[in-house]
Amino acid sequence: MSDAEREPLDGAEVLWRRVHHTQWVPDSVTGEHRISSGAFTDPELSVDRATVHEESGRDHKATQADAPAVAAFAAQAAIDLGLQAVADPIPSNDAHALVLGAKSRSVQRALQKASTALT
Amino acid sequence: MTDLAIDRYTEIGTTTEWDWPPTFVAPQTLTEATFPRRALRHSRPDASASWATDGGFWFDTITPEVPVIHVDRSTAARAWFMPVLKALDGLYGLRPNWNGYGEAPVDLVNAARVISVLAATDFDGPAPSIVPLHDGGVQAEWHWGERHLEIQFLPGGSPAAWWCDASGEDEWEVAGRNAIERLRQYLATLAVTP
Repeated sequence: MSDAEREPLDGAEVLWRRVHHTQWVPDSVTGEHRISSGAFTDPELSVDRATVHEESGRDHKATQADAPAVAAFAAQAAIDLGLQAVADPIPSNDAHALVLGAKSRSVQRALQKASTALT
Repeated sequence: MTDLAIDRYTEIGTTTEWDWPPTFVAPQTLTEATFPRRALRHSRPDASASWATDGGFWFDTITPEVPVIHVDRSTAARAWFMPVLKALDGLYGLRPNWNGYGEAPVDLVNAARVISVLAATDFDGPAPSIVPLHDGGVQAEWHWGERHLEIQFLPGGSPAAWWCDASGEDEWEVAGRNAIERLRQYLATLAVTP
């Protein structure tokens, strides 16, 4: 599917991104874990649309699988950073979407800051 | 080649073991560590001979498959060294598509720059988290409450460092050769004020 054919997402949609255990890093003061900004470097960042999962009765565990957490952020956060958030359903995942665009260090950090960790 | 000129390393011989854990015969007597063979298979399938990186930081092989990393004794004795080495080794075991999003395996030579950069700063504090990136790069990062330091190593690129504290007034980002002096300054504070 070309970029032009992909449906832009509404800014209010919540997007889920699986956080690999190596990208779930500890804070030395609080002892808690946080999502690394390194989880947001891909120029074609794969995510899941929360609404599609939820309409099918699935929660974030569908995205999480065996990972320690899921990063949840609003599509609007990506749009405000100059990125495109588009639907990209694939045979194995009808909730699949993409956040397209080069992600500078500041954009990576902004996405990290905009994210809530779901465990 | 990186723009970070490291000239303090010396090659100090060979080792006879090559499986994890690395061959450490006490830092004061021998400072060598070997990575398991899986690392090289993933990262440098063509590496059947020695090669050099970072202007003085050597990887070579004791068999056609096994890389050896050579560092000086003071570096190997630092608090962060062994945890970083183990973390890097763990990343080398990551297969392509390691998070299900089409990720590349970690680039071995690029990842070694974490060690060379930290060594160049004279840092002797706690190890950072070592985070793989989707394109084969790695990121070293420390988080102390509202103070954060990240150093990103992209394959073929200059290391880039970012620091931010709670006030937001002390935030900077610097890349390449200029990063070393800045990192030396800030890592010194992290070593004594966790």
